[in-house]
Amino acid sequence: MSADATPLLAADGLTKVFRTQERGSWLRRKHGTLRAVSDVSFVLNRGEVLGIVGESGSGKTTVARMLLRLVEPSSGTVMLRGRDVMAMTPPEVRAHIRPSVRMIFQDPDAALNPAYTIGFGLARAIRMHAKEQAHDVSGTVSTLLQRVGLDESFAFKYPDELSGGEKRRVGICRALATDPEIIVADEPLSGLDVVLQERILELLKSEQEKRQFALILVSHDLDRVNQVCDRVLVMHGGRVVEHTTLRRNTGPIREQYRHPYSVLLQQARIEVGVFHAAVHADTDGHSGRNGTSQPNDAGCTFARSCPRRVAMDDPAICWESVPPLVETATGQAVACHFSEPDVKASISLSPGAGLLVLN
Amino acid sequence: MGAEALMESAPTPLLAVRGLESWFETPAGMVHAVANMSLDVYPRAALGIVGESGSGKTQTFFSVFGLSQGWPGVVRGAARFGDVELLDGLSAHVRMPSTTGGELHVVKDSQRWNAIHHARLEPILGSDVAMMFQDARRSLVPYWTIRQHLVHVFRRQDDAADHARQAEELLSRFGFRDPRRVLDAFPEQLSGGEAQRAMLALAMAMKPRLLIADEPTTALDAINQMRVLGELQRIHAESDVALVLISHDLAVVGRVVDHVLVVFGGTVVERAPASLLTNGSGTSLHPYSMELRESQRRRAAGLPIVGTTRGSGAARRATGCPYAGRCGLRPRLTAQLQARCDTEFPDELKLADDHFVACWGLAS
Repeated sequence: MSADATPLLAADGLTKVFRTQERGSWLRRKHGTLRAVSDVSFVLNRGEVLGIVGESGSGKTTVARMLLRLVEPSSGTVMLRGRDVMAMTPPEVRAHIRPSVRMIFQDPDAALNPAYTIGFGLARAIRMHAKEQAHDVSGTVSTLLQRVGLDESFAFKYPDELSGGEKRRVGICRALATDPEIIVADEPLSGLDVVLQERILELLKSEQEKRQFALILVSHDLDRVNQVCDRVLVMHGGRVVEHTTLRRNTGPIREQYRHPYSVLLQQARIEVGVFHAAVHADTDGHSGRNGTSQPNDAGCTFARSCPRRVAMDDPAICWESVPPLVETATGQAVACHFSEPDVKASISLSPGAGLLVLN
Repeated sequence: MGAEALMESAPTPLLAVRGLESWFETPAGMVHAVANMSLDVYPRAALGIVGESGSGKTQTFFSVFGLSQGWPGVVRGAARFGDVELLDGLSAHVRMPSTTGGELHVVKDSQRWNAIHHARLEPILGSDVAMMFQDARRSLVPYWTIRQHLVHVFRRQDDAADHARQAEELLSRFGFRDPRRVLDAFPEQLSGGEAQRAMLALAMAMKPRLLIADEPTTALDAINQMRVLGELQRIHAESDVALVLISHDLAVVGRVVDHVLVVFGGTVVERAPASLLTNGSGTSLHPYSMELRESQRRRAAGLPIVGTTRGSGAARRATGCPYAGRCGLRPRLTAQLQARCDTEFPDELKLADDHFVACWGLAS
């Protein structure tokens, strides 16, 4: 984050509160609120790869969508090259945001129009948004398809003739079509097998290196994020709990995380085998104390399942105040009341601790 | 083939599949979804099936248990569950006059076939055999609460019992802290992880002899994945059910099962103990298994990804070894062997008592 140059994209205090429907007869139905995202701030520089990681319901997709104004934030700002995205009118959004910030949607079946051939859909995107007037649109389409490893014949196919991996490639193609400055990829790997995951990730990363666009990779898979990202935001319960710049040349990446949730997320991948019969928890991080289904709004979002809290003998502060995101080392910020490195060492997860955490 | 030898020496398998073959008509032409598939599932065993999308791992079980959509589906092979020969005599309803010239002509009397096949499955499905799928929220009945699902199962077993109490007890055994809330919820009101565990509880409520879990964790995040796998491990340890875990992820399978079949191009390319596939080093594995293991290793270590994959990912070959198109071993073989890879399907080679591999390169 250089001092004088304005960053490519800066999000500040993004918050989203959704209105939800409570159960009950339709006459007496009350509306509740769901705080999907609270106070998320970060900066994205040119040519950088940023990962946003968290479990389902952690608010990562909502953050991604707010950046493009596909979801209107309840509060907070997004600045693109110093321009306030939130103050733009819809035509301005179309002119300035749509071509330069592209999104790869999670569900390619929903993102591709089933009535358009692939070529027609891409040509539309190019005609609408391309920076220079494209003269040879069909030529551009086939070049684009080749860049993502598909041949020209795909231009004449409909989405339902494509396999899952091919649809993902077309999704990437859609994003590349306007030569953007930022691509936001929302779970581009979900539902793919491991070999395809590697191929798609490799494609994204190599295009990113060639074109030097900034990439935001939204995923629940911390391992995949570790493979390509420069910086990672870990989200839990709508808040950023950790913001880490990954250092590739000093030891294993998986050991660089400091927040207890990130540590758990990292270990959940590899130590599945040791959680024998110990994995009992019912409401995915949204349950309050004593099993009530209230989110822990007052304190840390992760308090309920936190191994560090348990190891520290349940300090009251975890339930009572939201830990601020504090910078612990260069390029690393952690939102935990007890984030000193020596504390971390004492709570690294053991099989027994897993039982403790999730019960 | 080594498969017959295996059958004679070992105890009687609960499910035995031999030479199963399924085709499907798609806009792009006929797809050979399952090609000469043979496998055994033994009582109380946990078997993993690993392979990429389209490798036929799901279709094998769909074909055996009459769940395949599309035409013509399963066309030949034998499958026995317990004492029931599921596909016996059905070949009379299929004619495949020629497979020459690249064109396949199938004449199948699907109506007759399905009538007989389903009649044989009727007493088995939903009681002796239970299945769970990738997306529980879409697989359950959307306008039934979880309670209704469970009661439906209990009613088939014993009409007089206290179904409500049974349902609550079952869910609390499956790690739900507030079973009442879950019981009264419709599938869409549960989170992905909860729905998946509710579906697992439902499957186990049938008291099956065989549980087939088809990609049960693919749509879940890491922590929910761990919970579901933990439940599967517990079931395998505590009950008599035979477990088949289908996944594209070697790491997922390796944590739960003892034995793994690696599937590529609709057929088994390797049968090996799970430990050998996940962390055995230096042992000879099928090149495709090696690819999977390497991918796993890179991912676990957070290694950079660019320049690692090879080949086009293109579909399998029509003749010869299905993996030849992107095989890492093939370029290092002699020209004679390479020609063999392209033309002849590799025989199954026995490397150890419980380790078989189908590869010409390893056979030499």
